[in-house]
Amino acid sequence: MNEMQEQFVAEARELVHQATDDLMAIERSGFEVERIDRIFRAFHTLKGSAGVVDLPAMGLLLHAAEDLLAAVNAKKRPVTTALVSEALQCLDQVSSWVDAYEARGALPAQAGELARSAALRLRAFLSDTTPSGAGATAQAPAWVTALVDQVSASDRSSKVLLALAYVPLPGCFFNGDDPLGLVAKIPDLLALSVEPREAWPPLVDIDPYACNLRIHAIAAATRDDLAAVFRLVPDQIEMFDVPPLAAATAADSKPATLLDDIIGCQIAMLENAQAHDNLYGRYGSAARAAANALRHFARNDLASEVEAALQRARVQQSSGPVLETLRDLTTRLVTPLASAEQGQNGAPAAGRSLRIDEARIDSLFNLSGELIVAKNGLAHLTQRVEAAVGDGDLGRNIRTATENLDRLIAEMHAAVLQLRMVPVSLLFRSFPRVVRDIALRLDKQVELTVKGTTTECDKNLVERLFEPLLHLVRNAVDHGIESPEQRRAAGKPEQAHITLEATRAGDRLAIDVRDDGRGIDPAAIRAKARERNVMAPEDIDALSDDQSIQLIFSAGLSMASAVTDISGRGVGMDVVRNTVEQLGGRTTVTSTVGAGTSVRLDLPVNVAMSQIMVVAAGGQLFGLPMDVVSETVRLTPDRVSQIKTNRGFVLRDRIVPICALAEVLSLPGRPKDAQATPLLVVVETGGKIVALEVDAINDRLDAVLKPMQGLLANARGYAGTTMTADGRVLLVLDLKELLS
Amino acid sequence: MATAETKGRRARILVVDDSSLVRLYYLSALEKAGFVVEQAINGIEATEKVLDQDFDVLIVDVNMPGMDGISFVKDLRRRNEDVAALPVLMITTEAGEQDFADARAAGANYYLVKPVSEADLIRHVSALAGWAR
Amino acid sequence: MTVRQDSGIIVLEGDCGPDDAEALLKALLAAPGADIDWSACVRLHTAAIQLILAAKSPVRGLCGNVWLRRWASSIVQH
Repeated sequence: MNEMQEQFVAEARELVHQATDDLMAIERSGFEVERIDRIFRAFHTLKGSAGVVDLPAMGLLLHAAEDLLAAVNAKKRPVTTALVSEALQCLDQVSSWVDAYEARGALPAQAGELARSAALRLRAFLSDTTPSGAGATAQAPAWVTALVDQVSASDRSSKVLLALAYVPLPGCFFNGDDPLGLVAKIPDLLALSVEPREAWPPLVDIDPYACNLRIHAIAAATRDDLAAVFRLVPDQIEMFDVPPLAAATAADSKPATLLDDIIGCQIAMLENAQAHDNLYGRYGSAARAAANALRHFARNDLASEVEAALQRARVQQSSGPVLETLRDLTTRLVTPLASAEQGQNGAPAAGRSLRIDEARIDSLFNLSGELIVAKNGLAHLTQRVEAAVGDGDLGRNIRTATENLDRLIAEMHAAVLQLRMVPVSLLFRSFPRVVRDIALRLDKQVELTVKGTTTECDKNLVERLFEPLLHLVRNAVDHGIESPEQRRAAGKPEQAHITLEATRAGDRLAIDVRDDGRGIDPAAIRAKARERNVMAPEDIDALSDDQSIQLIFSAGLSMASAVTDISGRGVGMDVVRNTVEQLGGRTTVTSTVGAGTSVRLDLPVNVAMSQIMVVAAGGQLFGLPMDVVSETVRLTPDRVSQIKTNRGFVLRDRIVPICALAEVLSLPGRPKDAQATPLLVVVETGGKIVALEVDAINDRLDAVLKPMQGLLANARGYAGTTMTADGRVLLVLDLKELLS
Repeated sequence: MATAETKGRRARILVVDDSSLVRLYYLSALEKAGFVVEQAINGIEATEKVLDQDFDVLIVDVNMPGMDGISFVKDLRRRNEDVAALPVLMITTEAGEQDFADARAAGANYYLVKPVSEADLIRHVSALAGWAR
Repeated sequence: MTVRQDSGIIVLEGDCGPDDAEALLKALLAAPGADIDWSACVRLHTAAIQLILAAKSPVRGLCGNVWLRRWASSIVQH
């Protein structure tokens, strides 16, 4: 994308967000001059920008919305929920088109039709006839189809058309009517047909003062426009919507260029192949022909894509990649990119921000991680050198130098991490709209408050937390919040509240989703858990109320008996918990029946770095991720209890089972009686608490984990690898998998 | 005047048609446009030539005695060597859907109906050969 | 007078209102198949246009009225 296009995308997104916020604000508080004006100007600017980057479909839709808002601005239309919904839907469409434009430089093939039907709906809204009214859905009579042929293809595809039938009364001349004079006043007239209403009699028998005409017209005018022109003769006219070009006709029409034609031919040839007819000759020649044609028509970039697809096809020995690429090309050839020659002189974006390719930040980030690993390796070497060289100057100098290096690298890594930090507000941005839409659908009154938006977190977090958070919010509105009647009966205000809050404490980020709804009943959860056999019955009975409600995160325990469309989309509470745990976090829920529920996501701010505790077990070193380690304990023999074959001990109020890590990993361990004073690392994961017995606890590392590769790639129980200080590969354990 | 260059060299075309008159017509039109042209009178001769020399586009007539155009292209496509993926412009005598379907089924990359005008011939061959304008 | 005949051609000039329809009809009956010259016409009422349509008279020249000039082909036969 060139700079102008990028500017368009960024600006469009900003305008859409701002207009969305303003629209919801006026819905709550009614007509507000400044806001309405701002909304109108947003649509107006969007429309103009769409014209600059040559996206007529988008412009068409925005024009219709702009007209609607102009009516609101002029107080010709009240601000209603229905109107706001229409405007918001329009923004949704624009938003998705902006995404498509950013990804491919063009709108999808059906954009024109979508724009037309959406604009029709908006205009119908404007003129107070609902789309389901008789006028709009009346089947356009046959003459419309015939007359529409006279309209140029470009007009047909870029404008909303109305068809008009005007049959003047025979005696209209005596009323002073000049029918064709009125027709001359139709704005944007595109096609006209004038015929006798009844067959002409011989000239000598014609009554010159009787009107005998039937007039048909197609115009790119609104119903209001036409109604205005014919306001004195409304009984003599009839209007019909002109249906947009059907998909079939678009496909039947001749290909625009030889290039389209050639590519279409290759697609047809490949589709024509018998099943399993993946001959290199066919897809190879198709790719060559297409690539050659693309180069011939100066689309070298697309030619390269086809050639790359051919390489993939050869590897896969299948025509698939070539066929897909060619199909994809046909959509992109329809709306060509705005040529680079047009948008020059783009001054670099004024202001304090710089647009950077995300991939560059990621590669810088990876480099920085590797630098840390290398630094760790160096540290060990310098220790050995110092030991060899002794305490003299050389030793001291080496130590100073490495300490310096350590510090600089740590600072650099922190700075790179900062690059990836984005404000949490990005995550929360679309939620007010979500809450509004669901609440509307369910006839509930819910207000969303968002707090802590300036808190920052790693961009990874924002990306991966969106779905879980969405589920939590939907759940809150759907199941947590009562209907207005229920709330009234319970003595609560009809308007419910949901709060999304982000707080940061040190290197932890906490995101809370709080509602003042009906709360979670621990007894009901326990009953459901028994019913669904989530755990052994005696374990369920042993749970406290607080512990019981944590069960909502269990797989197989759905809050409602029927999975509703709104929140039952395969993102269960268990998926929420798993996603958060993958990110190194925890989920907890607190609730008071009748008062409300609060779900907390507790996450490390930086997902990338892991603190690792190095332990020895079974003669080897392993890494334990610090985020699951609660504490370490050196037990005295009297504290060790034996419960049947298992050992355990009491930690504060809980009985914690003891497992030898060597045993868990199937490694030879020290004989048990030699472990008089067991060294334990207490870990908490997946709701379970376990004490791992280890031989020794070594240093801690800040490490960037590399994923498992090769033979161990699918082995369970390993989170990844990193390097120890003396350059050995350290296996870091995934305790959740290991202990499950 | 631009020469018919593909990747920096002149594009090479093989014309396969049993009529000497047609071959002469294509030859003169293509050579005038700057292509290098070879000829073959049927599918068998065409097969020998493509295995022996490099070409960028094959122009193949459907109706030929001996090995006809459809059989030739089918056979070509089944080969393992690079020649199997040569772009083929098929010339058919009829404009029926079945004829086009046959050409597609055989693996032709484009088809024109006889008689082909000089302008159309050059336009299509240039595009299929990737002649940079 | 907005309707006149000139060597076998019916000429329409200026503003042809509904009252001129009868005169136009008379002219058309008197000279069947005659050309109609409307290049000096500024306005043409529907009544007159209707007669031209009914008589299938050939028209010559570009209509003086801009709108009719644009849409003439949809209305009358050239």
